[in-house]
Amino acid sequence: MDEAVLAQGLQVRSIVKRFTGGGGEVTVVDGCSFSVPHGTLSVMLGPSGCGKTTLVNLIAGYEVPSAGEILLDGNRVRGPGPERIVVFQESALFPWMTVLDNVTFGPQSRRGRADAALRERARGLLAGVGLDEFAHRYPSQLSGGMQRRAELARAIVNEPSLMLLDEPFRGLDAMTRELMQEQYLQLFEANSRTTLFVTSELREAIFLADRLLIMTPRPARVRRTIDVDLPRPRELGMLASARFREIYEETLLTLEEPTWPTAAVS
Amino acid sequence: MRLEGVLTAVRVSAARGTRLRTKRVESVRVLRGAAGIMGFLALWELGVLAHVPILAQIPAPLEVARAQWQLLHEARYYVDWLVSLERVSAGFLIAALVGIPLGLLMGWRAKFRYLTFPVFEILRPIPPLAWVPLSIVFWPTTESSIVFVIFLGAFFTVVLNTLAGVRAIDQRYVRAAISLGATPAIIFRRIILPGALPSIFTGLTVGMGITWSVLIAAEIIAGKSGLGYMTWEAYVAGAFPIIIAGMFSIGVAGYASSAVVRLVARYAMPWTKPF
Repeated sequence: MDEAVLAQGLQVRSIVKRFTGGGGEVTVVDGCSFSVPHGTLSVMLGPSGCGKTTLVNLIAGYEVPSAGEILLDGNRVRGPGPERIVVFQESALFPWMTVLDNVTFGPQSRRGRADAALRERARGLLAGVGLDEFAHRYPSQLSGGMQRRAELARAIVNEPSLMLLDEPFRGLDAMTRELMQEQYLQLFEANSRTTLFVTSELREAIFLADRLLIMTPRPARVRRTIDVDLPRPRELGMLASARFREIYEETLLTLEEPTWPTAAVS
Repeated sequence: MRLEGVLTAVRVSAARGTRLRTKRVESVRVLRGAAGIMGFLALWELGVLAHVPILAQIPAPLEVARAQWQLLHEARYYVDWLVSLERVSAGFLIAALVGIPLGLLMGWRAKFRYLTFPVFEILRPIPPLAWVPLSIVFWPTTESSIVFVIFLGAFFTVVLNTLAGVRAIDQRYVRAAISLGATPAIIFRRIILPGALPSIFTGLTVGMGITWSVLIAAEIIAGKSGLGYMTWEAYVAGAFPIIIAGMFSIGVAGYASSAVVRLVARYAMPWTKPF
């Protein structure tokens, strides 16, 4: 692989993030490095409160790292931008816009106008996530699962170079969640966007991922990377396969390994 | 996918059921309201007939109805309505036109808020009627001073609610909009403004109520016409049934104007409509 190909995708290099609060300084991320190769899906897996969301905010550009750098396709991240779209755990669909207006919001904001072609494309994406009949409904009129799908459509319509998904299916009931995972994978496999997906759910992580980034408890750092070689396209049936179980056990062992306090802890 | 489809169908049919039920609940509610008004009138009439101490001084409903009927045949009554409506509309509209942009700006730009909020908070507790003497001196005509006092009545409530509405907008919407590439102008127009709208309409509804109470007092102090003046004139003349008819007219006017604000709110915010 030559330099140009290596530079594609997301690269997080020795990121440190400290917050100064009332009681002093807290290091939430400490020397975290990893990469997400172009067109692949990495899943960040770790206990809640370990600093995953802080990492997402740093990559999205909402926060500025205290040290280190983040590169996307070779360009350094400075502030938020439409080439890196975040889908959060709680719905951030604008309640006052119809589903269609929500989906066209991004491209329209950047171009200044919503032309027929854009509307057509948005409708196509909504059809792809089974929401074509709901294009003119408001978010409050949709179920939780439908809101998640609308949000995915709103992100993908921008054709971002990187999709950041921060526990997007948390809070959905188990059945809807599995359906969402399957649908999301279809969407990913059809578009192959570079994706960082954050979750604390092990099965979900393995089912979706090309690569697992297993995090340490706070301060966050990648403890181990595991490549998931389950074939694509994937389907829920694979959750019962022998290979899935092997990876599951390996991941579980890593998660349960004791962690020793590092010298960096103040 | 299929399961989601079924869930959707269930949701849609449940929504339809809710709509039917809502209609029935509404008509029952209207009937209850009507029964309440009838009961109130009956108690009043009985109280007057039975010479209950304080009530005995008050004209009975039938007498008031007769006075109201008589008013309906007088051109002056309609002029009084028109004059009062004009004053309220003018003061209220100016309050909305000045108050909403000011509140939006105060909510959106922290520096502007720090600059203006203290002045605002000192002026706010002054009752609108305390402004009457100054405003008569200050404004060239009585009419403009009455409109000014009405404006003050609604203004502070409108600004405060607009400001609170902007401040209450969830930051994740702003973040999402920035992330999607929206400029500050677009964020203001498509996120801040609609996000604050429910609170803005709360301010307008409350403000509308205040304008009527201020109007009546302003007309009594400085007016030569209007529903408030009419009521006061009837008191001076000792025409008790007319006093009550005047009060009733004010009640109807206030109710109707609040209903108009609510109607506008419903059309301006289709996403809050129950489906």
